[in-house]
Amino acid sequence: MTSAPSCQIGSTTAAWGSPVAARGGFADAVAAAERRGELVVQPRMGFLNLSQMTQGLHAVRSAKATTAGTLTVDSYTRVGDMQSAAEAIQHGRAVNGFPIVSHSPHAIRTMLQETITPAMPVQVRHGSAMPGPILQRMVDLGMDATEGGPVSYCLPYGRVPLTESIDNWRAATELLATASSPQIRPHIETFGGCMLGQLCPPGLLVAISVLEGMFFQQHGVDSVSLSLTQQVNRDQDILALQALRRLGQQYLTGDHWHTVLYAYMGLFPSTYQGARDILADAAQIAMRGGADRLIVKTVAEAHRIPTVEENVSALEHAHVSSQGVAAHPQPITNPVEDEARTWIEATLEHSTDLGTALMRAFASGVLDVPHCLHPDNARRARSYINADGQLAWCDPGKTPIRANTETVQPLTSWGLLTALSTARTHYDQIEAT
Amino acid sequence: MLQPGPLAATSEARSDRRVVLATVPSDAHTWNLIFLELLLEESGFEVTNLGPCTPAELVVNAADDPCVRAVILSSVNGHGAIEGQHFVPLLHRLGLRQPVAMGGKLGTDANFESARNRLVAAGCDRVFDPAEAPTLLVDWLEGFATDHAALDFDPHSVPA
Repeated sequence: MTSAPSCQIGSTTAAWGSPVAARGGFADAVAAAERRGELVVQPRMGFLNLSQMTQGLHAVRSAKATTAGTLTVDSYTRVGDMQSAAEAIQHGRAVNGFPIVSHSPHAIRTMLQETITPAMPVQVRHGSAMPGPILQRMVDLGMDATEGGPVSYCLPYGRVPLTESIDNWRAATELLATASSPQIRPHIETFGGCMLGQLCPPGLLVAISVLEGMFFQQHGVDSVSLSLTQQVNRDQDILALQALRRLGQQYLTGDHWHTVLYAYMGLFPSTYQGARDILADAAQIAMRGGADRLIVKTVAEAHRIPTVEENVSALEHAHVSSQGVAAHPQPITNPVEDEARTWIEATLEHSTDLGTALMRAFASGVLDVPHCLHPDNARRARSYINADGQLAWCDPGKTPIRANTETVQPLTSWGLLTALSTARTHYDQIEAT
Repeated sequence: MLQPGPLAATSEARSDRRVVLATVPSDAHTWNLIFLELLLEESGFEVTNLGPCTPAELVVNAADDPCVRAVILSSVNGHGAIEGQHFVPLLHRLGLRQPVAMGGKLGTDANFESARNRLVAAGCDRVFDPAEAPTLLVDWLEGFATDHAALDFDPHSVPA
């Protein structure tokens, strides 16, 4: 299961010519947009065929918005099943993303050289706890930006032990760092702001995101972005983004980092207008909370994988919705920031090595993701949506957070379904009235 | 594990009220498993929730216990019908003796009947239609009740 063999340093980079990211760096493009006061909007997009993928990147570049392009990798490649990915290409079988390791590197280079510009960089999004082969291919091509994390790409998905994921991500991060040059600044976005997509109180998401950002910096990638997902309460989401910025300033080194919001990642509104409204809210939350980038969702989200046109429409809608919305000033006190800092400090007490600290914090139950079934998660902490419509803890387990003073009924199966459907119900009902 | 709900049966009545909850190896979804764990606990069952992407050996080992009444496989990634045809016979080859039920989004809605037939042919004891109420799962499990276990159960108390 380990990706170590594919993480050998000293690859055949020289054979591939100049790095494709030299045509347009990811972090530089986001920083330039930030200076102009513009939100970078970005889709999730991956196709089996190079021609379709190329067409998709061109469409994102042509959208009336400030965009970043995406190569979303397919499920076979994510789990390291390169043979099935290669067979899918050979036989034209439907897959849910771009098999970046199995296409010819020369063909991928041609596609990226045609599409990447300083105004539209391209990031690889994958979701793999065994990222070695994907990041090796990125290094071979001279790509600069990806996403993931030792905790966030492990605990919510499958059964790869956390310690193995930490080892894999340590090696993969150090591998990507070797691509650093005067032309290339490797960049990794944490996925830690999204554990399970919903029902995780934002203090814990902020803490995991910051800790993963610190992990990447410790292993040589200094340019990072810290993520957070939109959840069920606008005020709480804005506070969470503000906390992410403050804690980034406190715990990250250097200035090469930004924050990124994901439009809602849970059970999505199923109506056209409900989906448009939740995305518009995400764009406004991103601006108010000072995020520099937004990953959009489309009107197809509740039903199927979106088309290129639906993605372009979502990018343009998010762009329009973000315009003229100013950042809120940082609050004097921020309960999300206080909670997140408590977790970060309690985790850092375990070790100066971030990977070891994360491993021990989960083993001791200091970090405990509610509703996460992974064998390395303590499963003592429980969350709920409180009377104010905000995410809160009904039982913090062994984490260092104070117990809730409200009397909370134990979560029932019906209560879980209701909580999971909160955003869908809310946004679909607005349309119905 | 999650704490038992308020309806959980107590003491010796639990002795054969354990259920192994799992999915097929390709399925990384978990909210369905968390929901079923709560539902079954509210109905007085003890649940061994093996989580996503479950290997066959883990299922068979967890079920190697006289307290285990049945194995429930819940899959929502759309591959359940195809994968279950190989997975269920593998469980039996590895020595599973208890009844097996499957449910969730096993394929496309249109071909549910053929999915059910193929899974039954592969050795599934019960295949749940996505349209069926989850409480029918509880009724099915109660069908294996021994006398002392059945006494504590009231299906109408299940919130649904």
